Amino acid sequence: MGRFLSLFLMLSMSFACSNEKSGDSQKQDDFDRSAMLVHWADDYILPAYQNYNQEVIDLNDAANKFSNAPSLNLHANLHAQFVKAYTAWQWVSFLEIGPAEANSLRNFSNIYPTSATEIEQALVNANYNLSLPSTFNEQGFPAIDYLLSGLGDASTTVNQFRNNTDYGRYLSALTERLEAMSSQVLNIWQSSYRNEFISNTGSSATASTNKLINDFIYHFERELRAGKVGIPAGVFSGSPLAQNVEAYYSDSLSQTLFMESLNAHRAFFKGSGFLNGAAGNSLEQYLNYLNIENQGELLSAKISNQMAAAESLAKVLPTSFSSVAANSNQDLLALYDELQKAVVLLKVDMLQALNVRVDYIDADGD
Amino acid sequence: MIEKLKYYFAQSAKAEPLAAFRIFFGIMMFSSILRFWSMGWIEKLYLQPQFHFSFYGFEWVKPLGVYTYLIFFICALSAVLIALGLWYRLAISIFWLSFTYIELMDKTTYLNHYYFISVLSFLLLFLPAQRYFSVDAYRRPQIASKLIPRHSIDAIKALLFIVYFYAGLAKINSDWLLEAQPLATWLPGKYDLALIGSLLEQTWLHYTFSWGGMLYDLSIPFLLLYKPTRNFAFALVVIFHVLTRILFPIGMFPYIMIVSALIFFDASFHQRILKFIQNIFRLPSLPTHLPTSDKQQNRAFEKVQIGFITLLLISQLLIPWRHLFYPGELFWHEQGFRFSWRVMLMEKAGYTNFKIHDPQRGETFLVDNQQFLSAFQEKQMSFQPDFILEYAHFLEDHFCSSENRGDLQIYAESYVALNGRSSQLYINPKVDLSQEKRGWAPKTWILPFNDTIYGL
Repeated sequence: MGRFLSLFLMLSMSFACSNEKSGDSQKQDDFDRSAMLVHWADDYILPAYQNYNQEVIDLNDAANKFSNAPSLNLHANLHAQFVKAYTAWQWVSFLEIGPAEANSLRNFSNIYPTSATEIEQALVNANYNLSLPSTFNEQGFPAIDYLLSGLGDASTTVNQFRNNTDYGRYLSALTERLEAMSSQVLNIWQSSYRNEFISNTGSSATASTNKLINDFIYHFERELRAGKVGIPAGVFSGSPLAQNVEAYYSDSLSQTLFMESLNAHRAFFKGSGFLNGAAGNSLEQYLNYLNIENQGELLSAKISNQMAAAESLAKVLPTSFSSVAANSNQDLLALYDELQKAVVLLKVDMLQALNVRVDYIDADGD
Repeated sequence: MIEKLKYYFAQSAKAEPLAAFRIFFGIMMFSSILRFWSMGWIEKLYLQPQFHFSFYGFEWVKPLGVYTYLIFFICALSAVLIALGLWYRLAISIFWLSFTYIELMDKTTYLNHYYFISVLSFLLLFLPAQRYFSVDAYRRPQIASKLIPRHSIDAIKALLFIVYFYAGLAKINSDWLLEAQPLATWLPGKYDLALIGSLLEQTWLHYTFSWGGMLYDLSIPFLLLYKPTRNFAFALVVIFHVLTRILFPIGMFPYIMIVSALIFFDASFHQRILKFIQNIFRLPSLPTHLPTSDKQQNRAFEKVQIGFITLLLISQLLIPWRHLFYPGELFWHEQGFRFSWRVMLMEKAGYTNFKIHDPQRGETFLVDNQQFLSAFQEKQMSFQPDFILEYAHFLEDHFCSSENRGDLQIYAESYVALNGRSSQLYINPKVDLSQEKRGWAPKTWILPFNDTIYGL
């Protein structure tokens, strides 16, 4: 025991001594990760959810008005609101954590391509159960997109809704469900999950930072890179799948939604607040704090530049990605390549630098 | 020389240390398997994935569906029998076979300490650990003995010596000593630990731990062997392994190493342990009439045993150097990296996608890895060339048979980052992996490492 004690004292002494000696060369200002969580929660996540929630409430109103008395005018209002809500969705889509994760918010809100056949079958049935995972491709924005723009032009759609009230009833059920899910997620964030989120500070695989960074990268890779661009471009299938773009039936919306999503990822990475862009502790600052360089350049700068490169390609594309896939698919492939480079930087270099473990793998190491 | 060896192998030692070692080993293994089971890892690692990565030559070793649980059960049961010393030879044989089978099922889960257990249990197969303080000895007094050949204890010490010393040698490289990598990457991530959390961000601490770890591994076998320093060394063993347990997710390994190190202590120490166990469980007192001379009934059998032990230890000395046959940076190409006690040396991460070209149909497409691999498998596959090749071959088979395609070309687009460096292209993207064979030959399709790591 005596030996143990003296050894322990010796060790702690040597620690204490060398601590004093190397005083100026070391970083004393620890990066405040809990401040980053608070900033994410209060300046990005909550306002983004509030904004989204308001948009789907308005969407539900517009849908009910249209369903009750279908008209060209109300159809145009509804579609305009649909675009606003779908746009707002892009800013919360990657936040698959807490109540959103528990309720599979993304799967119920935005699985595309949607199934026209299944929607047509479901809507004649008066008691559909939209909470079943088997109904992912019969609801959410893609299904609403089909009901608003997939039946034909605006006057055909209006006539269809007038002749068959099943369409209106189903549409209202879909917008109501979006609203209910969104309100639930927002309520839980406001009432309890915000505090849970900001206090789960550690570095374990289930800690907030770790999980949200994983969600963010997963979304960038699989939703932005693959879902919005790679899959329609035929990267995974060999030939282009133009009908697999997001908002296929609205046709000219896919580029807008892509740009919104890219901007959301960039804002989150840079720590820009949702409402006024107020800056706070962010992944970018975290990387800079750790002074991570990549081939002689700051890694954070490389990531920003890579996102900007993707943006500059995307913004000159035609607004309909399905027509790009059909007519000039090499442009989509080029955009995919730029996004792919960003994924490498995020998933390999950034994760390694931040020592974040991929996808909550829990197994022993050695 | 021959005379000296003959004299050495004729020497006897007290049986207590080996008996205590057997008991600890059995208990440790039983609890390890119990832990593994209770974490749900059998399901997650062996039942859920549809594809499993095999060691070259062991492709026939696969999980057996729900019967995989049975293998774990048998393994756990044999561990209990080992601790009891009941049907010892049979129990340790079954343990070695079942444990090794488990480790061969999927190399995604390869860990040096699992390999250590396989080697150690193979060694125990040839050691008379049942002769004392065991149910076997109690039931069959004719095999009971207070003495055992001296080499049976020394063999375990030699194996531990190799493990530590080789782990230390592997740390003599410029990344570990001059850059303090990968500790400089790993330790700051543990900022939330009580008391030492903020220290873990300090650069001086990364260097202290790196150099300390290297010196610890190299010196601890000597300090344990040398009697005057033994207590001090054991205290270091405890501190070191408890610290690694706190800092890294390494499961049962620290405890196994701490308990194993007890083998270096004298018989009198183990006598007290056994006495203690005897009192707790109110075991019948040990027969006093046990033979005190180590009579082996079968000299020929003993010679075979010595032969196997010698072969095992020599192979342990040689296998870790096989990387010398491969050109390039070992950490990068990993040819000869496993089975060499290279522990905690690398922070390596990768991102690997596969492009499939069907020349007949004129199609080219990428593979969604998550369709075939678990997150854990994908992570491991992404930076280990033998995984990449095996998976490429699987993809070729899969798309040929499921989509009725002809000859396919498989290309990897792979980026890997090592020990805090920028990611760089890893696999030659122009090489059709479907044409490359698995095996021991150098993998020429791995692109050279852009940097140099000096050292062993």
